[in-house]
Amino acid sequence: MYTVKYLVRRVLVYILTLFMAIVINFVVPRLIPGNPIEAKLIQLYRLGVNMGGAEFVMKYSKLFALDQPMHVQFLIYLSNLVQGNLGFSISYFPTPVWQIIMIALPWTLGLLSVAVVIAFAGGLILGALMGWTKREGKQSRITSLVFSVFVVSSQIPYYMLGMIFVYLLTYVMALFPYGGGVQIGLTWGTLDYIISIIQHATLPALSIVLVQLGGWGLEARSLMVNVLGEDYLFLAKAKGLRERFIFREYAMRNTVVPIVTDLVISLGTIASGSIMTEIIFSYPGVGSLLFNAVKQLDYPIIQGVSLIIIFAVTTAALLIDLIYPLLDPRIGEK
Amino acid sequence: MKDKQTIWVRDLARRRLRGLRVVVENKKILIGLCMTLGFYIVAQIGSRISPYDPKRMGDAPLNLPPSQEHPLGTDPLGRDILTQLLHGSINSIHIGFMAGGVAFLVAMLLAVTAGYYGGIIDSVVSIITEVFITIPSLAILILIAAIFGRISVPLMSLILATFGWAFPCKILRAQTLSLKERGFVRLAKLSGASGIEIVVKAIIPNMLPFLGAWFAFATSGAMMAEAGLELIGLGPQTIVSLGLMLNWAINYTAFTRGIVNWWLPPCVVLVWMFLGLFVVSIGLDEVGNPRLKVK
Repeated sequence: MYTVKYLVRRVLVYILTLFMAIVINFVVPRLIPGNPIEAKLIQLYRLGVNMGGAEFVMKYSKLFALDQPMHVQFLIYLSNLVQGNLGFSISYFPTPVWQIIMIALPWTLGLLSVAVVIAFAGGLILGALMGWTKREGKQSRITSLVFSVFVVSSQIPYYMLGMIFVYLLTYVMALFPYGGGVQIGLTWGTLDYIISIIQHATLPALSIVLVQLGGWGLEARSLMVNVLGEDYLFLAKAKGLRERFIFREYAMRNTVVPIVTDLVISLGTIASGSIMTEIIFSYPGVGSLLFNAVKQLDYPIIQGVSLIIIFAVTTAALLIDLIYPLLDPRIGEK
Repeated sequence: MKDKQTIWVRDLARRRLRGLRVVVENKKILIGLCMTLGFYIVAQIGSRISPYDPKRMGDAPLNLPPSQEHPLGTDPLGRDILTQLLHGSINSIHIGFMAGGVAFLVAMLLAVTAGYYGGIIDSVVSIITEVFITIPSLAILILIAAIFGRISVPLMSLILATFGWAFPCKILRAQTLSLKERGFVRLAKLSGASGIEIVVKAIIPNMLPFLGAWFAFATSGAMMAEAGLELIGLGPQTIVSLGLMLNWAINYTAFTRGIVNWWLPPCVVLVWMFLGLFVVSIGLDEVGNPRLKVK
């Protein structure tokens, strides 16, 4: 199964990725010239609030450890992070960032996990079947039609499909509700509540699924086409195995394995796609939180959300990579 | 010694010529190039002809639906949408090409060096590549862009390039590894060519279709990331771009007001460009790997 080298390398990449994200998160805000507290004071002064002068700056610099040398600041930052302390939101002061993210996170996770699983499984099966029809040069019209649809749909940005859905299905036809994750005023846990959640999530989920389906479909198709040329399929056929059995046990298994690596790689893209989708649908997840934070220049939230996204994506990638050798016994041995 | 060298150089020249012919014959590449370059030329000409200014407010009545004077209508600040679209497309394409070009060059250099020389360079490069692949670039881009505020266009392109090189690099490295073992590279080595000479004259020319494909990929990725950042409300914001038009449309609540002409045109242009670049890269991939070809 795993070799030590594979494991060490994978965990090393994980730690490096997280470390890089944390360093960027720490360094970039400090690249801006000037004292952030002075900058904030000037900003407030323009709005007509006078909080005090040099004394105030000193006091707060001490409070946020800004008078310490850089490496001490970094250690303080790290220990805060480990404790889950991401600071306070500016626009909802003094609510901790963590608390705000925790309200938004379940919406995003729920929406994404369902949509990605459907898109991945569907695309894999459809694409593999499309590739499978290419053996012996059989190519029906349906497959070439589906192929062109996939080519187009894989290049549509998430937000575009979302915008079209919002316009056609919520504005013109009013089939679905727009905005929010659930209708306000319903009690938690009742049947109406669940139906309302599904109604609100259908369109965002559908736009994610449709876009991803094309990408996975094309990927699976080209992998399957490559598998078709392999000798073991020829041998399996010569042995007189049934087509369906060959497809499932020989061709499919060799298509699934490489596509899982691509799932790992595209997790980041999926996350960013879901940010866009949530913004378009004003779905109450992490993406909308980010959008509003950018509008209100709520930096602690922006930083917190991007850290959470990075943490979630890299951890998911690590988990898949650790499960991966179980699918393909050859991997760990390389 | 001299003779052997001319043999492999001539052999390479023949390969290159064959490659060129295939590129012209491959319809996908031609169609894709016509889509992207053709649109770029149209946008360049159109933006010069247009009598309106993409940014000056109040030149025309507000919120006009499409009409003869304003084929795509006007926005809530009285700006002509078609003019915005033409200027925005040019700006988005420029940013995409700048960022994509830088990302692609970095990817190619790192991939070829790591793949050809191997050893410790290879391990370091591939670990860094993996780190940059797993990190969700949009999250980092959002962070950097939000904190720097209104960043300039070159800085934006540079930031986009920083997170766009990794995936092409991974694939190109694998390509280099497989080319390294081929006969003509061995022949070149035997005839005493230096490492750089082999990389420049033997490995890179033989990867040309893939290099082209990944350049198209990097460009379209950069355009997509740019549009995404602008849509969220980050980025230069001093020049009109397709993403910024979408951001305006969201902020002016185009959806709940049922207005189509604010957001559909930039979307269509983006998809058109992505599709064109994608078709080019599929075509190039087929040239490099004929097994993929669909009849």
